[in-house]
Amino acid sequence: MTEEQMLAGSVKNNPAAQEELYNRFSPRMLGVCYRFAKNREDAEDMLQEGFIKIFTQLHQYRNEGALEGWIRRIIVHTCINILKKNKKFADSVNIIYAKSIHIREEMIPSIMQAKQVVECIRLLPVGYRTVLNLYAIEGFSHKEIGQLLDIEESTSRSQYTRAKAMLEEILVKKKIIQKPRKVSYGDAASSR
Amino acid sequence: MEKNFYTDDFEQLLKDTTEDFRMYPSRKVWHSIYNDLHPAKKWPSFAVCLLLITAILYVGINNNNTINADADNLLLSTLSPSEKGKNAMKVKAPAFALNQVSREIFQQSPASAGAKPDNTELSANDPGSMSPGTVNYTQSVVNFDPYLPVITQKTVILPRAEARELKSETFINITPVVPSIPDIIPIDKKTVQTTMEERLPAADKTVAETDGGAINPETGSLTSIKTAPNTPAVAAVGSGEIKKLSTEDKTWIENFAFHNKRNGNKWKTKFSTLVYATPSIGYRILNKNNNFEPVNALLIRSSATSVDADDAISQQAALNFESGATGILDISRRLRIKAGVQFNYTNYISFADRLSHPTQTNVLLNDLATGHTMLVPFVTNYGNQGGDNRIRLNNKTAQFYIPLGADYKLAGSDRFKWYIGATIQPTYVAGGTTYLVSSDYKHYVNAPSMLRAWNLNAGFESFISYKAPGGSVINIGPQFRYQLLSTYSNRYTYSENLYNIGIKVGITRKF
Repeated sequence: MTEEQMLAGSVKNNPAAQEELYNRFSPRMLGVCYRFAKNREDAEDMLQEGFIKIFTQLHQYRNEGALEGWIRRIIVHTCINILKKNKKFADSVNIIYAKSIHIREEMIPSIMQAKQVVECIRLLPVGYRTVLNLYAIEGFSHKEIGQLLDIEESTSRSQYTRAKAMLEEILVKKKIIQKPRKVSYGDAASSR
Repeated sequence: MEKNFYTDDFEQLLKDTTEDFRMYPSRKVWHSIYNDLHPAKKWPSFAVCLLLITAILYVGINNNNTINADADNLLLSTLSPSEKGKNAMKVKAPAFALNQVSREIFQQSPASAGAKPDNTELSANDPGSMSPGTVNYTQSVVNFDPYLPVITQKTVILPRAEARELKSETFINITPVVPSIPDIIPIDKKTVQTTMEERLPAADKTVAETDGGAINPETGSLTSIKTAPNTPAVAAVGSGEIKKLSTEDKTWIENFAFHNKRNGNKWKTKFSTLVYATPSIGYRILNKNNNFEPVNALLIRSSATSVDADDAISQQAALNFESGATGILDISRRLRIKAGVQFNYTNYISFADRLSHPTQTNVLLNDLATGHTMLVPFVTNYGNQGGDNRIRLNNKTAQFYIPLGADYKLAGSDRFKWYIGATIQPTYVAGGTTYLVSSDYKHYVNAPSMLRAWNLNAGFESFISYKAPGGSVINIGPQFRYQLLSTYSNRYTYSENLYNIGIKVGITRKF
């Protein structure tokens, strides 16, 4: 089934085409959800809600840009919307100084590099993690992040700086990277 | 080697690293999406639910179950002097008096049946036959000893002062007055038994996080790549490059991950507990249960009526309640079995008249030993002929169940599911109050000893379950339960099957 056929069938609510689209994109999208979510179960909930939105809004897709990018954007927005329903998330994303976390070896499953990095990202406090995911991986600007999370743009910058420093420290401790530049939580600044 | 992280490098590193990260969702995610996109027609079930709720509300509103007349309130022992001169002599007794006597009448064991008849039942007699200063009691004796007359009535005349201290032991000078219906029951030494009650015998999901790493071909498990500082992989990362897997490796890993499920505690994920409560409306179906031959056709005819019992009895549904806890085990994606414990309070209302004085009446019972029916006298305070003092009699029981059954999922997404279920419920009747209708339908008799101790119920339900954000699952839906065996023992000439319709509300938690 070509992408055009798959798209046309999905718009017409054809189950086979919808399943094809789902099978094609769901593994990568679940990886995206997993970076935002607390656990795998929550990530699957996000994925499910995201794909329902995708199928119901697919007729709005105009073939402008890659389909995966369009799907990814919806998934990310869905993740953020689900996170925002939790009051703790709103508090966390506004707190600039997160509590220090004690990293133990067994906290990070050593399966493989990509998995290791993702698990390290998931060790970050939820506020840091979300901003870092949106900025560094999903390519949102701080202004967009501010609008998306209902926070100030400057808060997003601060969050990202600290998230980045904290992640570097984690990656070093896990020996995934070698000694990065010594960064204290207060003096790093984002350039974007 | 020290690596300085410039912003762009770090972000690129993260982006490149996580780009290859994939996880394979469990199939239930797709099923949930599919069910959401292609919902089945659900209006029939909603219509049934709406109808049931409306019916329950209607009956509930009309059922002003405030008056609870209970035979236990029958008063027998203390005379009220102020009643002198009235046609009706009201007497007071310990609350248990009448019940106790009735119970004894029906629970007399064969061993004790040979003894002198000592089960007496007190009733105030016609005051017109009394001499001043005395109280006239009629003592009704029902004897199940085949060697003795079945029913006799004995009158005791006591001074009023003594009557106030009335106790059963004080009946000494008993003189037969009316040997009523002496020949109703055949006296057959071989066949007559005093068995009173026939009791039933106590009855993912595909989990795959793959992007690299090593697969152990023997165990099939993923093992980690130890990234020591001096390994090439680390060096590559340290220099901002990510070692990527070949397309062939990725495909192999993906296939492996797709077909190999992660080991988990299956028992934990499949087991859940449900606690629930069900307010309901209860009623009954009354059928004849007297295929036995009448001993004395003339007497039976004269006492019994040809009118159907359902027409002769005025009754109404009443509020019932049940609650319990159930363990549920998932057998498949759609089927699950369950077992638990449950308490149930059943009730329905019979409309009666409170009589001004205790009255003797007869109840048609089956003699299981001889295969004959017989009239057994009772004393009661409740009539069924209409009168000024209308009351409601609550026919209530307390029951304990062990519901055993299964649920089947008809449709649903991850959040909402629609189930149908059925249970069979071995039941123990712990107690209750039940009113038998007399053979002529003119009286009600309280005879708790006629309750069947072990019974069997069947339940049917349909419910919607909603998975709340906290992890709990809320279940709500209509339930119908039917009592398969009669409320009464086989001795009573009517069988009564209770049923109720309610709304079951429960919360399920996964272990």
